[in-house]
Amino acid sequence: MGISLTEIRDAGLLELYVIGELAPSERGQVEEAIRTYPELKTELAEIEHAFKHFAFAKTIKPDARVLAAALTLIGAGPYPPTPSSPSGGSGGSNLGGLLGLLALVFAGVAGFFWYQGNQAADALAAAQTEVEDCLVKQEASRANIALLNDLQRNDNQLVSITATDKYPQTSITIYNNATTERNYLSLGELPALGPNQSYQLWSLKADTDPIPLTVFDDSTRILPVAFESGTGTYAITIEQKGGAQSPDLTQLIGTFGMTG
Amino acid sequence: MNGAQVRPDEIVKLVLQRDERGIRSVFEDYGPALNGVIVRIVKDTRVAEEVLQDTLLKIWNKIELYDSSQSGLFTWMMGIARNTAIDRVRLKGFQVTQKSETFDAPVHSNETSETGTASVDIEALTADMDPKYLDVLTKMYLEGYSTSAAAEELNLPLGTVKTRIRAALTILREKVKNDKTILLGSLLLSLILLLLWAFL
Repeated sequence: MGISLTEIRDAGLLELYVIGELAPSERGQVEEAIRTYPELKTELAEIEHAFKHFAFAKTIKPDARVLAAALTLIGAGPYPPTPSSPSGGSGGSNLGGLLGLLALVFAGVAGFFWYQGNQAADALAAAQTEVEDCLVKQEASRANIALLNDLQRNDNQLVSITATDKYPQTSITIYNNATTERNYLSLGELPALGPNQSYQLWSLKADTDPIPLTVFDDSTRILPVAFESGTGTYAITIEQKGGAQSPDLTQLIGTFGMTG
Repeated sequence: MNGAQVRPDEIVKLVLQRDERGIRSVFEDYGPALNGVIVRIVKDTRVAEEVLQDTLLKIWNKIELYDSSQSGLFTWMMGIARNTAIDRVRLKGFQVTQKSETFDAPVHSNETSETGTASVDIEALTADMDPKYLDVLTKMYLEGYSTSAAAEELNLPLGTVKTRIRAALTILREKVKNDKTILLGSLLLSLILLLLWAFL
């Protein structure tokens, strides 16, 4: 028999479930309890909402370049403008009706002023959206150019992977630059991953344990990865999701021998 | 920026359709909140940018795995952001469990809002909260501490950490409910005033 409702609540398991801090067995118990006691769903939603409020009270605005770089890696191309207003209804259904009524009353009494004001607000929002689009496109272009410049440098060392017998079809090239201390992987053919697996890059140096570097999947064609000074050989393995501290050599995909 | 915002279900739909506007909405509507946690975990703004970028790519690539019956979109995305940040810290050889110095990140309270989370005032939100609860909440939710790491850092038994995170959340939930009530009250008052104005 599973854990009781009181035990779940008193042990703070719902809160830890939302943070993702439960061991798999506890997680299973909570999920079973949610199926058994539907009222826990409401409680869970309230906990999520409270955490969300806390997170939104502690925001740190990220640099717009992050979005530009992500869009570039996702696949580039022209970005359709963000819609100037959310399509469909509002998020809070309770407030929706009230706001709708409020809007009707307001429109009935001061329709003319509302119309004029709304037009001005729409025009302003559209202009603001266009400016933001331009800025994002500009950042995306800059990121694209920077990436191309990095890949086309004369002092790059391009090394194709020496695949192991286990994964002979693998095709990956590393763009290594000791001056800029940057590495990129150009991903071609890769062995399939299991649901709980990731690829991981390693730095191998003489007389040192392998150094764990970037953990990645095959979602992008060109991938910026960590640079490790003095690396003699880079290697790629398949590891558990999230990476490992030491490589599983039975899952070695291949190596890149670096010179100089 | 408090411009147009896209509902979570629309964001999911856009990303599933491989429409980049979905990721832009994630960045604009949720990026500051996700970044707030990432920066506090990795304690390095440059590394945080990489982690946020990875997070956006993972959201783009794993959206099929999101199940709205299991959690809200924000909770799912925050899970990705926290785990990516914690993985990065672990790979760099740091220990989240180490005693950490205070990280003075530029916090932008009230800078952003999202559907159902408009204009959050941290002072008001945590005003009634005992610092001992706030400490546990901050360590575990914002700084990526595991339960055992938080217990070690705060020199508390494991059970106490769990009790305190629950107490902190109970206070937060009450606060959020009260804020909703105040908002509803304000709207009703506005409506009454408008009706009076219309009839007089």
